[in-house]
Amino acid sequence: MVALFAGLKFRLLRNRRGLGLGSVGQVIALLLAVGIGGGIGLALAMLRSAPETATLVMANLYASAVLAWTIMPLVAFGVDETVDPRRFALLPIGRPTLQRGLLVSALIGYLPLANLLALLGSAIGVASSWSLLPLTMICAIGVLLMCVIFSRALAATMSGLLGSRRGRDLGMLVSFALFALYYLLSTMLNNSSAESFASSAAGSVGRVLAYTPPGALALIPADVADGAWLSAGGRAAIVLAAFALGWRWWGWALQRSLTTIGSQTENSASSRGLLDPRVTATSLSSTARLVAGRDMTMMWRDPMRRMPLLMVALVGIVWPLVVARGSLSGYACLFAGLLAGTQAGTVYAIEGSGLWLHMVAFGDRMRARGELWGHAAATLVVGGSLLAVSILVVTIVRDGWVHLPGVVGVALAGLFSATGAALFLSAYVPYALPQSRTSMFASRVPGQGGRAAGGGLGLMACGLIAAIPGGVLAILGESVNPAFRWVALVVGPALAWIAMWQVINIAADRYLDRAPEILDLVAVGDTV
Amino acid sequence: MSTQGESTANPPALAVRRLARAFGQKVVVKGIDLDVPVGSFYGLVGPNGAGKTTTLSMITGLLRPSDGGVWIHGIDVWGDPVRAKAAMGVLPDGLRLFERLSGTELLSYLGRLRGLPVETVNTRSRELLDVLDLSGAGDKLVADYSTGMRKKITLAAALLHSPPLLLLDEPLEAVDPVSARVIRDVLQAYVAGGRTVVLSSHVMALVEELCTHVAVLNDGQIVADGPVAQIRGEAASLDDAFFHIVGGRAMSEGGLEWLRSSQD
Repeated sequence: MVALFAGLKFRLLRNRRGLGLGSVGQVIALLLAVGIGGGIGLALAMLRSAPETATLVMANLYASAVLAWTIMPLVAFGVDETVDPRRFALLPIGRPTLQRGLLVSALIGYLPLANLLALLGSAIGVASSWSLLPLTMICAIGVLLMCVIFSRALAATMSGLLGSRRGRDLGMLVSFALFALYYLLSTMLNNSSAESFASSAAGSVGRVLAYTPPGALALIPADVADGAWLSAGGRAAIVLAAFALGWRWWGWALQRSLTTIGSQTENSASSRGLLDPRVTATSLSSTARLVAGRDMTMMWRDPMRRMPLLMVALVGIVWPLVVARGSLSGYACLFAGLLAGTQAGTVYAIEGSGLWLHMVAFGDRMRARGELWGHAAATLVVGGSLLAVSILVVTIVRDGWVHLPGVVGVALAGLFSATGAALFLSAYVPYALPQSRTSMFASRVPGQGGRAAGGGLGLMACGLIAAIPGGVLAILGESVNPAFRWVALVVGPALAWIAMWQVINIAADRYLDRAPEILDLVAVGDTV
Repeated sequence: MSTQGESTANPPALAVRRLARAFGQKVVVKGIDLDVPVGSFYGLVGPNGAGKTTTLSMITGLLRPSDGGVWIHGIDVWGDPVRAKAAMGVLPDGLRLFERLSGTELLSYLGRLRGLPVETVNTRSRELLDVLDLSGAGDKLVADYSTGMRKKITLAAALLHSPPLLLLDEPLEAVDPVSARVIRDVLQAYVAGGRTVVLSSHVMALVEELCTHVAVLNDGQIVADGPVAQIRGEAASLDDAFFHIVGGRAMSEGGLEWLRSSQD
């Protein structure tokens, strides 16, 4: 039976078309797994020359690996068809057999392979003598088993929740929190001059982690080498207790998930939204107001749309403050303006095949343009608000009031031009968005990777190009005559607005002409 | 059957001429001609893969035909989409809704997007939610609706602007019996008022019970159409007639002998 599970996993891997390249994609994925895992493993093996550092690094690494694996189902649940135990609920398989089968299947794949190679490298790195190598290998494999057991235990515990809308929303929030934490830490570390701070902090953390189960696996070989048998025994007991606890937790969660059906219709969210109940689509502006109200309601309720806006806020404030230096750093808010504008991208794909509701409701140019202006208005209101906060914070912190007119001009030009480019490309280069919403990072569907990449690149390029006049005037304001800052404040956004106006109308006409073909493309996202 | 669905003095509710669709080399719908009389309850039946959903998608303007035309009450669907869309209500199969709106919000939004007055939208939405037994779920997000509730809220959206023609793709598929009864009652009342319903279904008993007319679609072609009694002919039921029309193969013709045995 265990062999059957292994065969199933191999079959699933063979049938996966995630990269849209068929068998070529699988070869690339395999090479990437071997390359990345092997590379990390090689780097870790080279730590063998500094045994004390190696032990602390491995304690950090092992604990991070177990934590990352455990959290992974929250971030990207459903990427592995063998993960969700409910898929096996109707098969006549006993729980212990199922658990062993799931363990074996979870150890097969590109990610486990990359992890295994990295861990085997770490085993060499932490082996102070070659006679210790068998023990360090066992410990490294123990880390991988611990990763899988705790990851699957959490996945089984939350399988009902993660299959629901609320569970996926929770996953989105966890994803964003992790991304924000990573972004803040990496930005701070990359820009900090006190490098010793990082190393000493990592060392302190490593010493604490040495008493956790994965950390203990890193230190057992060192204890054995030092003849500290009591300490080694204590750490081994911690490890064995963790395995026993994790296995029992997984078994309990598995049994529960196989015999319980969660309800997806209870405790629904309140319907209070931002839709103005008095607006009727009888003119361009009223259509735009109606659609903008719907868009903002969706942004409020849908984490898939809310998380990118939080990222805009994060990047808009952190990036100019941490990366850019001096009183001119406010100009870095241009990036936030561009990012905010990109939130209007792929508007026809955001609801997947839900586009049909608009297609059957109207077929006239006025409403088609009104719809796009509504999407633009929602983006400009929300993105503009975030941009205003970003500019204000950066200006106050950097005392850049003198540069404010130029900064506002450039940032608004970026916002308008990126919004226009995003809406234009929505109609001319549409592509599907995954509607399963298993991950905030999932942004393309198999077979449309090229369109998505082209659309993304085109969006940023078009946005930047349309923002150039404002940027040139701002540069003149900083280098030639300060009066140009005020010119940039007026002319930059005005030119970008005119460009946005033109391309929105062109895009709306394109939508009217090609709506069935756009629906055909974006509906693919329903099944991903 | 008229040759120009759009030009007659009293056009049919739906006229389809030489409607065809190919996906690459594969021709899924092969030049369909069809007239649906005003006031009829018209069933479109056929085995899986016969082309029912593709045909309905082209009729409703959601899929561009490779060839041919569609007229709704004499209005060209692809030539005059503004008037045509006002004249039809659509319930497609398997397409998403605006999941993060509540049922009430969805109806309100779509009604106002069509340009209906706010008071009209509010009154009709309330009545539709009430009749379709969705009043208690009006404030729930559509994402949390069951299959039956989704069918009912989509039907409500299709009825909201009171169109003369309803086009429904598998309206009772995967719907519980209570919801199915509610939907059937609403549709029968709608036709009794002189309007027209076209629905596709796999369930022959349902078509026989509800429909006045039926068209049998097989391999992208209409192989029989007319009043239900005429299509049924001498057969014991529409199900039997359908079975013979599409050339079904009985189980007695071979295979699965092991199912008739009590041994493993």
